[in-house]
Amino acid sequence: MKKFCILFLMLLLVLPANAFIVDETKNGEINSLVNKIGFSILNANKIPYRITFSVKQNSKYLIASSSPRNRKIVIYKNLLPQIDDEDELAAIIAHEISHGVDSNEGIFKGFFSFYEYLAAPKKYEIKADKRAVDYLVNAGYNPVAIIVVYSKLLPQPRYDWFMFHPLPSKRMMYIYEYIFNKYPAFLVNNKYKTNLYYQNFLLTSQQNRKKLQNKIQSDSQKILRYE
Amino acid sequence: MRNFLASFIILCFQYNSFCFASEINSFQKFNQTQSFTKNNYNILYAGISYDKQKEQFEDELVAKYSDKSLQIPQININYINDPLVDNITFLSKNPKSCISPNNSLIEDDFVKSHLVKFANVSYHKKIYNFENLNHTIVKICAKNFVSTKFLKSEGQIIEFITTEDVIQNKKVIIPKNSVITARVETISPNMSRGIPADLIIGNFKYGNINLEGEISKTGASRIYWIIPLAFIANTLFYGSGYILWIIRGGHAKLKPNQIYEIAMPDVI
Repeated sequence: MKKFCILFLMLLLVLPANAFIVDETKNGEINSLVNKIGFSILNANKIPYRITFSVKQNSKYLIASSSPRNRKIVIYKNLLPQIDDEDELAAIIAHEISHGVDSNEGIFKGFFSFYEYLAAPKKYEIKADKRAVDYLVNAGYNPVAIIVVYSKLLPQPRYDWFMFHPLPSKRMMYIYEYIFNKYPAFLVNNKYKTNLYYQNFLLTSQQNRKKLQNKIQSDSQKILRYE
Repeated sequence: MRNFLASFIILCFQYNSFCFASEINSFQKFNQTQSFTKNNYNILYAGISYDKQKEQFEDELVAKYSDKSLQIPQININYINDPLVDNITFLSKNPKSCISPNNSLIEDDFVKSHLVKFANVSYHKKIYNFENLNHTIVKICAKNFVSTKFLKSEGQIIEFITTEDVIQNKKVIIPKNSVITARVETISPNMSRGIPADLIIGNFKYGNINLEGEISKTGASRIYWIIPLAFIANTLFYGSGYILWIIRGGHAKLKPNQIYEIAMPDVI
């Protein structure tokens, strides 16, 4: 028994031997930036639920996630080199905060909210995008940054039939329409007007914007289906 | 068996203590011995070493066994001309004329024409006094029945009526039965499988006073019985449960007899 315990202790010492000593200062700066943005959004919107933030190592499939269990928002490091300014990072965080808020609402403090999400994920993604626009404006950030980030990062599949997220082109158009109706000044005095990714959005969304234009000119209340 | 275990433990301990060496940060170390023949002699390659004084890594193989008089040979590059291109006169005169990147900016003309009147509108970061626990409450009820069934787009203005006088500093600021305007902030429609609609109303205003608070309503969620019933039905007779997925969730409603609470703004 004694030998077994000694062997087990030795094995425990061996297991962390593959850990590398990482430069923590860089990770600390990123963490403090994410916390600063996240908490300023929470405070400016008077969100009455506790949500925390962290930065984790690279993920193959995700750029950010919100846990429905403990409302912890995780930003993955593979996102950060692709972010050009604070507004873009705030856009991602605001979207995840919206999911965090949804996970608190419902019976038993939102215990079944995740199952509602699983049943209609696209609806809640569009709702989170819209709420993110409001959160960003109240926190002093530019909501057009959401369109810029999505244009830059999200790949475009052919169809979204069996997917958790709607097509990015649809999402960007719903956000554009939302900003057009509620916060039009951001489109008029658009700091991303000459931004490469926003220009690409304008290029690829011509048909969708034409639909919106027709809707506004005809004073219609119809809900548009974008492509 | 005992000897094997002992040697395994000693090897693990050695490897572990080596990995926790202090000087080198985030660098994968290896210590291997390889032997190979080159030019009729065996070379034992001991890896690389770290010179503390110079603060650099040295390649021992190169340091010990290479010829220090070796130099990188100079190569003369002979450029090949393209006589076909050289003979075309307009290219030789204006080499850059036919290549011009398209730098034209895509303009959002509809925004330019339609939203010019909003050019001077500004938005500011909202700051609150979270220490204050004594907010002046404003009790309101909807003037008319509001439902996501009839609301189509965000931005619609809805009217509410105060149910009591709002008194602050012993003054009546908002009398009873005053009209307070609000705006539909977000509509999330109901969907099949019993997913309810969501409605968020905010931006409450009484004249110049911006009131604080939001009303968030969700319709009846029918998912809690549709999904289990559909599962049971599918188990009994596959495919029969999917018929239940047609059932949509409830609409979010604001009834005129329901009282909601918002608050007067904190003075900062």
